Amino acid sequence: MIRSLPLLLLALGSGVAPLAAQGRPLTVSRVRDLTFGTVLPGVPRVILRTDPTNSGQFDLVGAKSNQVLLTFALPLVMTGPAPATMPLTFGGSDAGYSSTQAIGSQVAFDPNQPFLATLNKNGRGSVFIGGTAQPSTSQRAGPYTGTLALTVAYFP
Amino acid sequence: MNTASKLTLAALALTVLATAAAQAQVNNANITATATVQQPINVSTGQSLNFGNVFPGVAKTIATTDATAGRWDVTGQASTLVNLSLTLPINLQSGLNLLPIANFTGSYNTANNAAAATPFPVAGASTSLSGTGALFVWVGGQVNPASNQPAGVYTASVTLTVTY
Amino acid sequence: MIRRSWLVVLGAVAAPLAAQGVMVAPHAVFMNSRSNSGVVTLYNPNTEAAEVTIATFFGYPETDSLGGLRLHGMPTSDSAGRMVLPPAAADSGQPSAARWVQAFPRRLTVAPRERQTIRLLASPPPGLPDGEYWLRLVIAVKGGVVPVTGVADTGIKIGLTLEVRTIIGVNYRKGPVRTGVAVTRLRAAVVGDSLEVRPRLERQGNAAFIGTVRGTLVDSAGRERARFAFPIGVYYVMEPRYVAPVGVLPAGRYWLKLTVDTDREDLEPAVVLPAAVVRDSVAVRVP
Repeated sequence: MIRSLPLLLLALGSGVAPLAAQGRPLTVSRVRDLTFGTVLPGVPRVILRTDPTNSGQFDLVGAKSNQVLLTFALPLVMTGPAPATMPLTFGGSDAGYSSTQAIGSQVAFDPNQPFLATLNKNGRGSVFIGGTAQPSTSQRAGPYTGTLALTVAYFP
Repeated sequence: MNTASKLTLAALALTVLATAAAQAQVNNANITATATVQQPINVSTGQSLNFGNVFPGVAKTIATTDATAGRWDVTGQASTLVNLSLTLPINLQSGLNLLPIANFTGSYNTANNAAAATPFPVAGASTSLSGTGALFVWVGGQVNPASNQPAGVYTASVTLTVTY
Repeated sequence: MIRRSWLVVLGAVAAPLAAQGVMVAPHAVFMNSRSNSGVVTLYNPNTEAAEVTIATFFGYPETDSLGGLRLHGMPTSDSAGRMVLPPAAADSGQPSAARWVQAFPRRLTVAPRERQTIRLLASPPPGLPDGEYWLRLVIAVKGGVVPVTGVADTGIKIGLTLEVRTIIGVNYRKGPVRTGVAVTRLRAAVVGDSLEVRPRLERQGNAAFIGTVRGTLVDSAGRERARFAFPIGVYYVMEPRYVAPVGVLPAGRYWLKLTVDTDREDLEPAVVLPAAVVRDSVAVRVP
């Protein structure tokens, strides 16, 4: 069924069509948002990439054992009640890749740099990310949000 | 191959791959980072009430302006009205033995300056946090050891209640 | 019997007391009938563990005859210094949530640099009418005993245990709630180098008015000479006394312009009920 989708795209003359001949299409999907929860002014809040509840997670599906290049676009701040913002930082080991898709068996990597990962024999993998919220001592109360984008390049 | 060479090759490989990515299948997804900031209130004991050396039969008083007066530090939302009250012991206790403590005094100031603080009745008073959300509260008192005060470990509690 | 002099040492002599206490957030909790739950976060920023006990009772802020803030239903203390909560019957006829909102856990230890969560769970009685219901949460924090230094040969040591209690509000909302405030009897005077202002604030609707009282003193030319802003929660009627420094003002006629609105930077916008902005003004004469 999955393999029929590229064929359908080819029939429709889609721009993706040349990739169809290369096998299973690559998908990356959001599994879990990065959640800092309640944050107190002046108290940094660290979420580890191994936190099963609060870390962010993406799942990858592609061709078995294929290599993919992971590139994050990370926000510098989260935006709150206008015009308030809150700095957000990501350290050199705040991201992790697991070919087994187990949060407990990750290979750490720097989310500020591209990272080359290999999908498992079923064509799957998971990316986890943590980070640090840095509220100021006068941080305005309210909800804050930011967007983390993961771009995955798949080499046929 | 030395480490530097390996790193150079790795970097080159990533560069090549990144270039190749332009021709590769690319997909992306977003997640959201979320946080909720909540304004806290923090009441902490900044300094103990310290009577220093006390002799039997000789009362000793520590004023709120003394360097050894007790101090609490309050931080919270700027300019918020708060009510302060002190719960004070009558005696320090060591087993069945008592050591009287009395004549408590309290004062507060939005700056850490006891000399310029405003006295308040220990039963309760209302004031505001500063424009930066700070308040300092001092307590003094008097111990009255008897001339035949038995030896022992005497303890008691002094409680500051801050009502938001 | 040989009399020998000895020393009593109260509190620390050499070693200063490490700061003790916990940060409590938020400083006002808002619950509703959709979730029937609330959360208070405790964070210990200090280097020693803090023992925390939680209690609930019915109460609300009011003002005394001098305009000072006080708490209706304020707990008292027994002769041993233990907190005595008001009797349960004290909330009779009041919009009290004290009997059906519970806090868990009620005793806990917060380790240094750690945070803990207090959960509030509501079990409102069937048929509870729409409206807002109130209670107060007491967070009592006991740090370690003050380090004691005594005189070795007397065998006498004294320690003073310090404790802090923080009392915050919990508001439970069921169904449609609305609020507002009416300002009457606005009084203002310049006393020495301070501006003293006392409005009478009366809550409207069926929920507490949570907002900010702002004042501006302008001279006869319209120039601003002083400004203040104080957060306020009006549960029934209050006549708070506000004081703001103005320095030395030339004699003349001034105007105090008062605004009461619901803009609160310290609270999540979603929990602050909207209400119309109320304005009033009064002349202030400086002799």
